[in-house]
Amino acid sequence: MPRHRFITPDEQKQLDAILRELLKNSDAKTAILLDHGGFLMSTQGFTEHIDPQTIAVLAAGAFSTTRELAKMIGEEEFTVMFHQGRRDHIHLSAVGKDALLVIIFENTTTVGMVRLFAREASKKLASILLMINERKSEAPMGNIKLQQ
Amino acid sequence: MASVKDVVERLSRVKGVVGSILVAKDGLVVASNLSVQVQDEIVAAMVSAVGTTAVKATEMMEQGELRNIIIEGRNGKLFLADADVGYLGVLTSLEANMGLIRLELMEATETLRKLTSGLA
Amino acid sequence: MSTVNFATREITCKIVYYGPGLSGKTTNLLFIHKKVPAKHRSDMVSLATDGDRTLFFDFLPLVTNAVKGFSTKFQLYTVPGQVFYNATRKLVLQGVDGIVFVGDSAWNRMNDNHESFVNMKENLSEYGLIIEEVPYVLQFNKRDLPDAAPVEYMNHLLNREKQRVPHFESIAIRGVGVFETLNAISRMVLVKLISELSPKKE
Repeated sequence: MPRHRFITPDEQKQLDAILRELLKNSDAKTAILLDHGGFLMSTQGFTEHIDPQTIAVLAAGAFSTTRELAKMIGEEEFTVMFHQGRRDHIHLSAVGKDALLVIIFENTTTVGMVRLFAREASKKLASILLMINERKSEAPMGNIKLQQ
Repeated sequence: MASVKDVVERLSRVKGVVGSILVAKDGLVVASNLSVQVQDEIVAAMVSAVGTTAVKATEMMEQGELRNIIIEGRNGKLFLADADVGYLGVLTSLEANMGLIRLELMEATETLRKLTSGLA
Repeated sequence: MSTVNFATREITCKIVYYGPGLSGKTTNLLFIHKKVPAKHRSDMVSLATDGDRTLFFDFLPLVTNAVKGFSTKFQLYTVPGQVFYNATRKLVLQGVDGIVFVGDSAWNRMNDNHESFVNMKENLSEYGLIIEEVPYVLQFNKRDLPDAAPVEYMNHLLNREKQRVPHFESIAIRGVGVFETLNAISRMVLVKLISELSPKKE
């Protein structure tokens, strides 16, 4: 894991666009991209009445927990988690090595559909994130100064 | 461009078709348009079981890649095709035109393959 | 790992409150939550057991304007102190940018303090981090206890890495020392971030 991560406006646009495309194709409600530490990288779709940051942190926690569970039974990790509710459901999947994709969807679509397009989105997201993570540790856009 | 959901829905509107469903190869429903009498999950489980067995059968009997399956019952028929991302299933009434249904099914399968190329 | 987003002009850093069980980590966060105006923080998330012990973590996001031209977000986490929760404690450390080690000043907790500090170093090493490379401060909490150990002793016990770090005396339940600690660690984290980001001088 790099020590710092920079996201440029252009990369942010690409990440956002992939999530929007995913929502359109799968008919899901909300998509959130975060890393294993719970850092939010993009949120798209319906976000009224929900706090994406808190969802990100809890999802990262849930994912870490299941990864430990996986190790205990000799698996490397569980790449997909699905929480079924009465009306709203959550699909959680791994993106590359250190990111996660949270998709919230209702009964208007199916977990099969969400999984199908989550897979496609994950691949695209992972390649952008790889680019971001491999960037050298120097601010690409000038100096950053402490306010005093 | 049509969505996966559209393709499955359009199939269910073909004359004689009672319902249509796209099932991932592990049995998870991707999209469905079935009448209320039959439950999605049951059909999905059956479709994936039949599909997997048929793929294996054609392979073992050296009949090449599976194209489609037709199951005829006393009350209706079930058509199945392999669409890479899953099995596409169509339930029809007894009187449905088999030729037409097969044609529509193949066309829908092709569209699905294009829509989801690389996703399977 | 801090994230710098040039699209949203946001910097995000993760600060973890570490220390033995019942040393006052959650109390620190609760006080911060109470005192910081709502526009600078979100709700606090607590994953606790019935007995009010932290089970997984507490989480409190703060927004400041500490860096020019950026909105700077600090995500404060606590870890569960109880020895048997090490698996979750380790998970919370993932991607950490700065640590506040909250020690308990009671004489009979000195062993626990020391054990927790050693455990922290072990857990950091699992992420390939060594303590010298992570900004951290010490907070000696519960200074109002009648049997509080002398600060010199606690420094001798916990502040003995190559680089001595700032320490703060606190009574977290009354808010004494809480913000001094938070200010110090957030400054250390940002100074380190900025020094690592600035283009190297020829």
